[in-house]
Amino acid sequence: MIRVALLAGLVFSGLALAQANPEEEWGTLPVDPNSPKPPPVPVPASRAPAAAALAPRLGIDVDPRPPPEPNTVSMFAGPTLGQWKRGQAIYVGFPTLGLRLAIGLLDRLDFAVGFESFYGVMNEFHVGLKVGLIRGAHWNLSAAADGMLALFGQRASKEERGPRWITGHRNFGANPGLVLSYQGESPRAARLFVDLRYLIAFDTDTFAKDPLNGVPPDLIVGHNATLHFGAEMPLSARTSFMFMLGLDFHGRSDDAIIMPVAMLGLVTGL
Amino acid sequence: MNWFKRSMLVGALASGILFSGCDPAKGPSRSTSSGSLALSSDDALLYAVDTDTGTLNVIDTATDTKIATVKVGDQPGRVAVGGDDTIYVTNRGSNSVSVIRKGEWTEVKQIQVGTEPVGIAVSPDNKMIYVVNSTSADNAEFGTLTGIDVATLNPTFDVQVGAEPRGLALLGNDRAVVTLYKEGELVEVDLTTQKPISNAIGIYDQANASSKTSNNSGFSAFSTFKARALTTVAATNDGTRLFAPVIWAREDPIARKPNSAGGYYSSGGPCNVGAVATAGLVVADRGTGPNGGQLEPQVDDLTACTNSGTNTSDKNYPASTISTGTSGRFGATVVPIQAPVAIAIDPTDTWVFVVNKESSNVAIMPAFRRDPGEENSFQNNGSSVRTTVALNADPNVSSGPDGLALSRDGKRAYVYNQFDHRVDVLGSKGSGSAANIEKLKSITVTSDVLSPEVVVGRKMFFNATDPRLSSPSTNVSCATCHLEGLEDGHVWKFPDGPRQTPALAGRRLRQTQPYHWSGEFADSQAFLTHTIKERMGGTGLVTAKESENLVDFIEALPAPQNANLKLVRTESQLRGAAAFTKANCNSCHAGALLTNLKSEQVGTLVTTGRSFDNGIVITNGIDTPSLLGLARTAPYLHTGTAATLDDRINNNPGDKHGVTSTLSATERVDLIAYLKTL
Repeated sequence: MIRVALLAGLVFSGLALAQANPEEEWGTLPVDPNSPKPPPVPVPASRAPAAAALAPRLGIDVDPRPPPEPNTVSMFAGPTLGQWKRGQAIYVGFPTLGLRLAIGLLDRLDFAVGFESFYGVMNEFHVGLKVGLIRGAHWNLSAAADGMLALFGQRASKEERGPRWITGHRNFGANPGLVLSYQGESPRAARLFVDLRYLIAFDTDTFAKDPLNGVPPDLIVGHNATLHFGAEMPLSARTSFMFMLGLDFHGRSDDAIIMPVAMLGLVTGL
Repeated sequence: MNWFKRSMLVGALASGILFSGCDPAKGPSRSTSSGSLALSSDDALLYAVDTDTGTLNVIDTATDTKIATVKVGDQPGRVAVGGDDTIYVTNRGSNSVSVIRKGEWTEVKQIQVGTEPVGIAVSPDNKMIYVVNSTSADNAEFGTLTGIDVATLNPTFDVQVGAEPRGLALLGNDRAVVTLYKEGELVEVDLTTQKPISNAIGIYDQANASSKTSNNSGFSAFSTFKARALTTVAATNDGTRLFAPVIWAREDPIARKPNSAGGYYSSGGPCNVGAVATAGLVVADRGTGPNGGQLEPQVDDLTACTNSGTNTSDKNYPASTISTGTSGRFGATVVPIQAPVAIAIDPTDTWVFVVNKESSNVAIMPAFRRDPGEENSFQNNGSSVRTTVALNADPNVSSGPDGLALSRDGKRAYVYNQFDHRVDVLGSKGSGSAANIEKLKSITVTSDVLSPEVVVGRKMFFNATDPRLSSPSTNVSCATCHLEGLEDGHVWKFPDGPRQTPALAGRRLRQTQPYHWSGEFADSQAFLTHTIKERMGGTGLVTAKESENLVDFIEALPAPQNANLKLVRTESQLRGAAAFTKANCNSCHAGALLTNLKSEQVGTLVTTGRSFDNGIVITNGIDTPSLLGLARTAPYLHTGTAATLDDRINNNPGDKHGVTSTLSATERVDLIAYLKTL
């Protein structure tokens, strides 16, 4: 599963980066060489002499259209959506697949709801906030946190190397952290991001691992850290392809010490 | 309403929804104690019921010393503690429930209930006490569940629950589950309507699913097994699952030649585990239908797992056989487990503790999984239990454990050894090892009041690990079939034909020789030698005194109470006595013992089929059994083919078994009424 996710991520990112100028591919229509040339487009007066002078010499038609609208719809990277703008994302990978809907409550505050599933055996509902802290021309830094409620397919005492062990998640959780991202000059430049979170997991399904070794407390708190990095790669002004790789570090001895994460997804805005 | 108030309201509603299932008053009755032991609500006091002395013994768990003794009724058996810390004890011998207030240490009342009350539980809301009576107060054919109002301490209802019930578990305040001891089934009772919801949950059908299917197709290559000896039942603390310990009994013919290692009884246990009578555990999950749905049995297909063992399937319930695996050429059990009689579930619903009376040990199994898991390895390969804890330094010694209580902090288990009048305290040696439980200390609460001979005999009667009595690959005791010294209603398919287990208690063994249905043993010594060596696989009792001690105990067993027999017989019963003579029943069932001590041909020999009579009975007939205690020993005949006395009286072709054809319909009814008083 991890290998598939990594491979797919590399392939997609490779294809995306291989485009010399992605805007050309996605911003223009294919041209039929036999079709009549379109009528010349009026150009602003200030640029017209230069264009008129260069065109005959180069033997090409100058596309005078404005540059493509930049893609600013981010669900996983640093930028917030902007007030009343909406975004959604679907993703699949290891260990979970999910769906996330967000809306900008303020220019720098997004509210999100989400559903994440460890392929049916753990189903988790998310409520999240993202606050834009630093917003630069290329760099963005946000603070983000999700609250989580997880429903497990079977009780903890029955589970062995199941979703709890793999994800470190428990019945309730929260994952405050920071998301730093960078987006290049181009309107279709990929948004690279690093997402660092502290995941606190509240386990209310505690059980006695060994008989007569005492009743565990009703609540056991797990402390975990997640480090994810990836990119949202715009496909259009509102849609991006997303890939994410990372590592989850689990603090409970009952869980895997470290677990890789790999996701592929789509992000769109309304 | 501002945002703060709104958020508080939403939070309160969410909390209400989330925690609505946690109201302790709506949960099941606590299942962390069972049988003759219970703890006070703060675990500071441990209550141990001693049957021989008729006492409730109070132990301070901080100092592990006895602080009080309370005289209760005759033959007290089980104890329960209410939400207000009032203690209730069922007195099997005096048909009552003793009420003891915490701190007063005196019996404040004895509540009369049905006949031989056993199981007891207090509703989670502490408003009702429920008691299971082995039979009703006036009819031995069925038992009842009696409800008692805690406020008035008076019975408020009595509902029929089937024949010979024993155990009881409550699922909340409105649902009770009762075990049928001989039938091997669970009965659900709606406590709101005070009516049974179902008379059985289908344990037998599920345990023999493959055999049933193949029988439908006209061929069966599978053995079949029947659950019996359901002494008790316990629910998980979350009320989703029930556990009922059983002894599985093989139904089809057992080995024709004695196994050199274990006697007849060693062969053919369920799932290649154990012997013809094997300890087991039946699981039932609470359904998901309206009002909690009906119980759904989770039982292994015991007839189709001969190649798969018990631990290879990824099932979320423990194996239906309680086994520690086998070793050696003859498949000796690693740690014998026999006669599970008390069961409790730890406060986290993770571990099931089972007390085994005839192997004098405790088995610990996971409640919601079967395989050991990587971190929770089992003590032995091929085992269905995590570990076992021996209660005696010599594992071949019997101490008759029948009570269990687990502390709320999950660190201590208490076991009451009825024969030794001793509480054993178990604790952990620390995690990391499967065998992490050890006996910390013992507390003796009283001393023997029975004669030394009976004490010795009882320990032998209930001992499935003594090599003199049973082989390591058989592990059965006398009591494994003669449950409670009575019988199990089971028909064993021996090489000499079908033989129903006869009752012993109250049958005056020393006066009713010859023995066996075939009547081939003139004295008890010969009878015991044959049974112990040939059937149970033991090396045999060494001295005649040992045999005598065993018989001493059997003779001392109290006869089962007969609810049909009152001080004055009814008109019908009196007429039935005359019909008994008219039908010539008394020519064989003669005298005070109701037997002529001879063999007779009464038209019941089986001459065809997979199990047929042969040998001495063909010429001599069947030994005439005593009719003492007849009402509670159904089914009848050596073949067990007469489920009721009506079946026998009205199905007697050729008058071979009494001249019943001379009786009118009314006389037959009267005769049956009379027979039920014997």
